[in-house]
Amino acid sequence: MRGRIFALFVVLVVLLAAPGAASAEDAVGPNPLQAADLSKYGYDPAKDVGAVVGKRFLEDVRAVDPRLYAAAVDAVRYEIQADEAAKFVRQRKYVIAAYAVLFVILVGFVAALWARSRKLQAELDALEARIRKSAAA
Amino acid sequence: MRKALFIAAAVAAAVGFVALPYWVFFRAELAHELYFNQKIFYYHVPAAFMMFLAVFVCGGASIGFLATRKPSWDDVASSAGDLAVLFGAIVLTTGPIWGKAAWGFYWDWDARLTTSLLLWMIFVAYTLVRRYGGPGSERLAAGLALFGVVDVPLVYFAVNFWKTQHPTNRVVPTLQGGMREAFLWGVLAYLGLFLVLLWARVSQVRGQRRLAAVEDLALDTGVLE
Repeated sequence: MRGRIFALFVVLVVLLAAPGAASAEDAVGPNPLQAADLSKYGYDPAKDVGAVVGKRFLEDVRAVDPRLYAAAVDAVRYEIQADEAAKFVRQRKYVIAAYAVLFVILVGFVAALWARSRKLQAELDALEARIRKSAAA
Repeated sequence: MRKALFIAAAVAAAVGFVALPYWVFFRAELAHELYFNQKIFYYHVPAAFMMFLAVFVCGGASIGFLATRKPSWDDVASSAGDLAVLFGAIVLTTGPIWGKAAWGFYWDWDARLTTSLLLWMIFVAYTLVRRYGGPGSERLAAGLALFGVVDVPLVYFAVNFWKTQHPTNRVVPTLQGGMREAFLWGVLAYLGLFLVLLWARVSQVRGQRRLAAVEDLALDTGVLE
């Protein structure tokens, strides 16, 4: 997740730095970050925590250009919200399914219990009727 | 006293099941990584606790029955066996749904899941023996219940003994704030429900037993032919 957010962040910074990659290239030349040395931010997802690297990158951006930093954070915030909203919608169906199954099982058990009670009452009534009939005879 | 306990349990179940969704959806914080899917936890884990409780009640009553041969113990054991199947079914359906959302697949043959399934199958076998085993099946079923009790520590500690996909036992003790309170509401609701259902089922089983006894008595004394 953190790695994804970092990757997303880097992409956004690149996009913000060079709005509309192709058209920007036509208008203002190549992506300025292409020539930059980003090796400092390279990391191994198996060993490093993406968010730590991302934070270092952000701090560096802030030190160079606070307004670009603020714009980048703002853009990432919207992206994260969209990502979380999509995740919420995706997970909602599982939560609904789990709750539905749970209550179907519980209601089914209670219904079976109630049906058995009715059967027991019917058997009791039948026995009573038989005894009365036998006593009358 | 028994009636007061029953009413207390019924109130706990009713209040618990009304309050639980509020706590789960409005008070419990969203979990990191598991996110909204974690809401299943508040119903899944208390159901697992009740499954264990039902197994212990069934096992304890089975020991009582085997030691004394009193039918009253057998009635409790039989009723608790049904509840072990009920709560086990809830655990084994809500768990895989949670797994699909969290792991991307419904089932994994890891130790926790497999021993849980085994425990549930033991109690399904228990109820089948009770229903279709004929005379004397109570003792066989009691032995089966004790076999099931032995499986409970295996289920619980499976996450410690083996490397499993399932979360560890550290999750519940480390719950904080609204998550902890929502979980406790879940336990209260399920415990109330467990006691109400156990009471209802035991009453029913005893009713059936007495009905059969009265029928036999009526036939033996010539009141009925």
